[in-house]
Amino acid sequence: MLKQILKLETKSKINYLKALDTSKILVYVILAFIIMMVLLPMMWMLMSTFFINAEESLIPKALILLSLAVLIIHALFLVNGIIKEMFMDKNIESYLLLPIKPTHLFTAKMIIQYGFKVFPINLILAVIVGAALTIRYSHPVILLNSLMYFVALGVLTIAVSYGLVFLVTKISSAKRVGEILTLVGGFASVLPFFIMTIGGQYLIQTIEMMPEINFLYAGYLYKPSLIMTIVVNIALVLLITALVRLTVSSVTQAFIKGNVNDNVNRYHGSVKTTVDHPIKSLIKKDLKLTFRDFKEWSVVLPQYLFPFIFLYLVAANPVMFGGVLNPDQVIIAIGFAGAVMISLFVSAMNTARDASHYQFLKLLPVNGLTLMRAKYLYNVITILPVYVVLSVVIYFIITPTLAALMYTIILSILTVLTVIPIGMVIGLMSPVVSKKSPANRLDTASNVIITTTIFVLVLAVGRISSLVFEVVDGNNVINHQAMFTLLISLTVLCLVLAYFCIRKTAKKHNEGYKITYKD
Amino acid sequence: MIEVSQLSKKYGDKIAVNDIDFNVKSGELFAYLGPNGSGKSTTIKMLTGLVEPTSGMIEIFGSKMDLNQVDIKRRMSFVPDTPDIMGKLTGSEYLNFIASVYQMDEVVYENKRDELTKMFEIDQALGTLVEEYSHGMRQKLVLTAALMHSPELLFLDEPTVGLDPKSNRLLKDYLKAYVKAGNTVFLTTHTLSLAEEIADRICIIYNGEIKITGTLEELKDGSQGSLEDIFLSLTGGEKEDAKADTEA
Repeated sequence: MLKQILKLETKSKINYLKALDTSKILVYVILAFIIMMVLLPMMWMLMSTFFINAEESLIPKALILLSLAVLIIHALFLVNGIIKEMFMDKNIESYLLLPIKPTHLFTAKMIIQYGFKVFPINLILAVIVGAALTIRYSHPVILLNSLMYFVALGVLTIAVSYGLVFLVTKISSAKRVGEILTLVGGFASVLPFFIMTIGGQYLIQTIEMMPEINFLYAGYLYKPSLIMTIVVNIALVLLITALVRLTVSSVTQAFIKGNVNDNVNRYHGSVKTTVDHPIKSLIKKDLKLTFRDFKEWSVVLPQYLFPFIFLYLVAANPVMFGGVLNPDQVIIAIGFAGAVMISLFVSAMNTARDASHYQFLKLLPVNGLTLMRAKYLYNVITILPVYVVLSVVIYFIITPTLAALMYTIILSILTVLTVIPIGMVIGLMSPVVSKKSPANRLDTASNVIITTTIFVLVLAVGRISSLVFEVVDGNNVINHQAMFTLLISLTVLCLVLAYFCIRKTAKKHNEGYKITYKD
Repeated sequence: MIEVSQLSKKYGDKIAVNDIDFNVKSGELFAYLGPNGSGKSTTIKMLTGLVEPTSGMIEIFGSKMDLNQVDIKRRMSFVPDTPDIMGKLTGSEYLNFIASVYQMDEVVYENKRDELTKMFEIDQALGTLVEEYSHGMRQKLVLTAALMHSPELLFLDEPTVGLDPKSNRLLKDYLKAYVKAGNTVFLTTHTLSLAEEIADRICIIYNGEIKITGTLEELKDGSQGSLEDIFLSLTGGEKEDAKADTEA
């Protein structure tokens, strides 16, 4: 029976791949190319250099840090998949109604998750680490041990992910857990970047601060001995068997007994009678839909971390991003670049959300202009204050002059107001509605526009300030005249764009737009 | 109230609705019946402006139907077959939102809301998020939202699906009184007994074409058969039954 389920699930994945449109295939090919040509060689270079040349006492510490990082990030990513495949997929119920043993079904699901999402990544890590240490100690058994170790780490990752999902379902409803964990998953998507950049910077200090843990890997992954190899491998096989049995039995029990669904914390608000202006009621509706749904948070919140990534990029590698900048230049550059990025992405996502209830909105006695005015104001309310707060936080981190902070706030406000209408136009270009992945709202073309803008901004962030700074006595100081000109230009531009783009989106709403319904 | 002439809708090569004509008078409950895939939902979506006709004309309140005409929309309501409401709003917030976009008077709104939610027995659930509602409760909430601003014209697409027998009866009684007060209802349903009981006129559509329109008496034309017999004879159901009997 297990074999049949696996065959069916694999067939379904293959059919999904066969049904991909050309643009998606192109994106995947480009991604695969980047992974093969850039990411893998880079990983090999960094990790092999370390494991071949580092002091021996640092190897176990690096291995434990690597294992923890892989375990945490991977587990967070997996959580999303588990939620989608186990809670949001009606197939589970259909399967359970057939004469199939629940243990077979959940074992098959876990094998699929392991095979498609865990094993490929852990295999790469196992080969890189194993090969580097094999070269160092000239002992091929290390490569085999490394494979065994990372296979076991993968099983532990799956078990931790399931544990995380079912632990939280004990406190909240499955639906709510889905939302919370999607939010966690959203953050998990930017976590690797932070770990790789910020973590990488403090890696050596962290390793030096760690206690001696030679007993963990000595004789197995480095300086191998036959006894340790046999003992540890047997222990790992036992651990894998125990983890698989424990996880499958917990999942089966949870589903059969309904433990995952019996905790429903019902929200109960007060019943008030209020009749507002249509625009106010539309904004209130959007705010409630956003603040009560963690999935909405997962769409936008991670984007608010990007100003700090810009800050790190400019501080960590000034030569690549336009030379050494003073704090005034940094805050103004981030004020502009971050505001463009956040406003473009968030307003596009917020506007595209309406596609999921387009028919309902279309039947309401409000015209497109009213709807889009409300949407514009909603975007301003949700983006502008957050960005001003972010600017103040950055002010306290890098302590520029107060004048620079004031300019940054004004500049970012005007930038936000200018970019939101453009984001709204992108959001209505060809929105996507997916019940399984509500964050997947923009089509490929819109995503390409936004990604390209972000890429350009990342490269240009350090050079942006040169527009409004001048060199006086060897120091970069704010050119007030240039700054005023920029601010006035932005004021005019934001008024013009708000006028035309809101009308353009309203017309699009009235005439109807192409919506792609997925799943 | 509703004038439809030579209305057609094609999806690619497939004809969903083929050159239909009918009219619905003011103060009438018009039941639009047909088997699955006969073109009922396409027709109601064209009438409400959600789907653009391939050809033909629709006039509502004497004007060409266009969803960009806010004044027309203010005078009508549509209850779709699937009550798809934004789940993260409470029932009360959803109704407040509807009252706001229809610019209802606050006192009138409160009275109508209380009357309808008590009638459908969802008044105690108004503080709960809609995502926690059952299908039937959602249907009742959508019906409340559609009725509370007292539209002159009401489109109902399978309104009784998911309703318990008591609510079903209450809705029937409400619709009878509502039509008696001069309002108009365009109803699609699979529940023939509902149409038989409350419709002033009945129209049967099959394969995108109208087979018959008239009062129940006109449809029966002196015969003793029920609406179900007439429906099955016009939509090929009898042939299917006969075929099944022969095979058996």
